Amino acid sequence: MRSLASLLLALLFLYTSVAMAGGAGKGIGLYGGEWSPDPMSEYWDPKSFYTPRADLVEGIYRGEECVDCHEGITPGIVKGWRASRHAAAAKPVLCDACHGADHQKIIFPTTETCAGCHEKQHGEFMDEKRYGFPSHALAMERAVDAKHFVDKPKAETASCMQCHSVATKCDSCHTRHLFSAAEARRPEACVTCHSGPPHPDDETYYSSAHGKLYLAEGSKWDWSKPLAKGNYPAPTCAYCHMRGKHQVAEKAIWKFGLREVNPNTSENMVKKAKWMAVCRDCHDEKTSAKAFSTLAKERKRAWTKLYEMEDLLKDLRSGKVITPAPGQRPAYPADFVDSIWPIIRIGFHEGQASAFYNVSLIERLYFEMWYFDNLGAYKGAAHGADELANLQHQKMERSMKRIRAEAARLRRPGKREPGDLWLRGEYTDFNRENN
Amino acid sequence: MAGWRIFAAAALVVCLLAHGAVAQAPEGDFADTECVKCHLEKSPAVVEQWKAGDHGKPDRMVTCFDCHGGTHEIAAPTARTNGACIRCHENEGAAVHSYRTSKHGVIALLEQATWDWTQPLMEGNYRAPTCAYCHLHSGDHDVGGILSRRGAAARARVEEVCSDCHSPRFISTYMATGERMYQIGLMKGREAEALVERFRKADQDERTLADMNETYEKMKYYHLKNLRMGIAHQSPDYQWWHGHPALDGDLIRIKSLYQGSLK
Repeated sequence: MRSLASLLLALLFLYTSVAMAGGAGKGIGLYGGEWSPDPMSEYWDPKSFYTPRADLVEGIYRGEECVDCHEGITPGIVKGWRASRHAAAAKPVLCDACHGADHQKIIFPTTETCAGCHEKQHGEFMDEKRYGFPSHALAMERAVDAKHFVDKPKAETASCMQCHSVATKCDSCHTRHLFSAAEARRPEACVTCHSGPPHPDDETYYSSAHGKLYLAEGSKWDWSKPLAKGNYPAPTCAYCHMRGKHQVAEKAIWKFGLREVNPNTSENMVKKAKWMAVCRDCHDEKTSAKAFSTLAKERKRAWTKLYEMEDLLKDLRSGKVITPAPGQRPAYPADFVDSIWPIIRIGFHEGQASAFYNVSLIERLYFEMWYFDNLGAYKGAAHGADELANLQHQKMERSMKRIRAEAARLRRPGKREPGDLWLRGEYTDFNRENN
Repeated sequence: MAGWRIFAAAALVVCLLAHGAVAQAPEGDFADTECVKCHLEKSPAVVEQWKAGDHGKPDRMVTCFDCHGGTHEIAAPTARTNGACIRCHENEGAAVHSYRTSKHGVIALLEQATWDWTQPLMEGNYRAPTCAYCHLHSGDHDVGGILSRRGAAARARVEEVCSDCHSPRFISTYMATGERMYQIGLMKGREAEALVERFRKADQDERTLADMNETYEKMKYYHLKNLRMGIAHQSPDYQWWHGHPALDGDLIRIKSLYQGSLK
């Protein structure tokens, strides 16, 4: 018996190493051995991927010389730098301070480069990791460890790295080469990434009372002021999420709306108290408590709907009526166990966040309800955009209708086999062979 | 009589020169035909570029006045702002929104009030590009034309415009990845198209075929466009959420429609 077990273990080990060697490798994270980075990766995560390449220009330069030359070559970035505090300082922070002086070994700045001077901000930013997901500091790990990131072609997932580079560079919020604190205090600095179906932070904030006030008068506010009580007539993204500290994670309670959260754990009560302290810059305790309980109620409402659908899907799964069934479609992305014992993934805890392509229609419909409708509802409720939250709940109900209709169709007698529909096709084949 | 006119004109030129007014633009409200008439002499290239571009096509003509307004003094600065373009292009959705949420668009929005709009659209005179900075770079009035087409000439122009701020290495890497990212989108489109064709050839029912076609059209005209705009305007949100995962959903829907009508 023992020898059989060790034989199985040995086979498992062998298979894993073969599977690992299958990809070209040199990626990063949990599955780094299984994927090869796209060339753009060096710009989104310079610490992991950037290698200086010998270019046309040789020599060691002083900062002033860099400026002189680049004024002619890339005048736009020099213009940005000239307007910056780096340029205005008594002892200016010149190009070589961040990029190095050797043109053949140009450095691409990372968060650590900035930490050389901005130690406090960097320390607070790195401290986010303590709180786990969601956070900016963990964003790149979060991206590359996602199974669909590993599985999909890297030129496709190059789009992921741009936003998740908020973990690896400071210019996601303080754009180069101005690197302005004032810019990052304004909501627009956030919306390049915080927009779109799973996180419509832009729409929900702009249609809240806070956002409306910002849109009406924000251009006249003095953005050089720090995010502190009394400095702004209405809060911006950064005011609430980063007031007092250069990080967004320490107050995060709801896990982006991705899974159900009990707001009354002792940990979450501490976080709630921190939120309420921010609200109390303008509101009385009763008002802020009410906003909090409105959000908690909305979350309950959303999860009642979501669980109802998850139960329905799990019921279909036990009845083995979901088609294409595992085996009739590509394996769950980058999953060793799934390649020998494929299963259908339903809900957050089973990793459905990575199963939004190459799945059956009913799983996709649930994904859309959970990932788009529900997350949008959460953002609406959290940002005080009640109308949008209600609209998202109506969308959830429409999704439920579609899911029920599809469930009824799947249960109808006379099974229709999907054949090779999910297994072959130009993209499907390409996706299988390229990661 | 003719001699008198020549004398008067010469005298006027001398006076204007003496008062340093020749370089200044004439005042007043002008009709469109007047702009073109005068600029055919003053700056014929601009008029030719405008005629050759999308804005100059007779069936959808956008006149000088539409972008430059009626005040000659601020005609150029007016047309350089994003407002001049967005006024008409607002309803196109992806084109404007992808730029607006890009870092370029965000910087322009936040800083536009402090910018010197009398500067020409070139050589990094602006910290971030506006619509016109790229699409009418150096004052080339072939609006959008060259940037919207594919091929070597368009590529060369993009490289030239981007290099006002970015390194050649960044530009070529970004463009190559963007091209591959778009090609992958096209693969999804072709996988869908092949299924629609297969379904049609197998003489399956018409209603399902129509539904499949509708989804395929959505891929072609919306989600692939989102992807293209996301790449061109550097909007991660359009490359991803409005682009690739949306195409994935379309593909599943088409496959499911196909499967559902199998006997």
